[in-house]
Amino acid sequence: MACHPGDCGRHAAGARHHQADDKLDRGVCFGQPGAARHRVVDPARLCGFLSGDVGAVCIILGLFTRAFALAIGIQFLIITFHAHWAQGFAWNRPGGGWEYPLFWGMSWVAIGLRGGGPYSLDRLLGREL
Amino acid sequence: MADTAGEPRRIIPALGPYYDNARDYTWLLIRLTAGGFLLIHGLQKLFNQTLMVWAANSLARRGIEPAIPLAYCVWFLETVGAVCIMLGLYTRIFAAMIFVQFLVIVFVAHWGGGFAGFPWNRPTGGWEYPAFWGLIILAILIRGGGPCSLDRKLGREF
Repeated sequence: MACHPGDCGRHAAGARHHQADDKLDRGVCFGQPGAARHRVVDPARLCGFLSGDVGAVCIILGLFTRAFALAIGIQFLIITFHAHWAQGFAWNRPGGGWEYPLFWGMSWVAIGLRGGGPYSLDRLLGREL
Repeated sequence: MADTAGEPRRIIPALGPYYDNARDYTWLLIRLTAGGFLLIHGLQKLFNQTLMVWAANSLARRGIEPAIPLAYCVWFLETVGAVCIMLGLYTRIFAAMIFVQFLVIVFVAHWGGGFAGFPWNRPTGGWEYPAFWGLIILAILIRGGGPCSLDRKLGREF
């Protein structure tokens, strides 16, 4: 996708704007600046939609928790080691360091191993991956 | 072996024992992540710059006073507190204090006027990451040290 440094309101001028930034944000926040640009369906965006939107809701509900935690965990490997690696560790460096994506990734590992837990639709269904 | 009563039936039964064994360690992983990242920040305040520089740049500049005593408090929580969260020692006491610290980080230091201040990678950092971290600290405060902790070894906990 096109990069628009400066017009998304999140980066310092000239900072690298990565598609993963949008994916990361869209998982938890709808209607943020930039979301309106995602109109055309392409495979990358479909993946982003499945993990970032459908996956996020399913993680919250605890529905198919482990499957989505695995998929989103892979996504966060890419976010950490590809998209934000060059920005350095500290989360509030220009463009955002890999600290926050890695923190989040560790949480996916924990959720993926643990599964939905006591308050989840997986538990209500009585079956889980 | 963890108590597995109440766990749903596994779609792939062969994975069940691995999940059951891993279950208790997942909370340890959460504690190591939340505490370990905090320890990195505490050590950065010690080695990358002096604490006084941090107090001036991060606290006094934002009008968070008294900056120097608070800087010592933050440094204590991000070193001793962080290690105790990782070890699961006096977990709830430290999680409570660190949670208060994160309330300040979110609502004072990185608030940025509300929703506009949310995105974590906006210049100087939004409140998304501190809020995420603070909520996990809140979960640790509610849950306590859990199965793999010194609190559990000691047999007593706040």
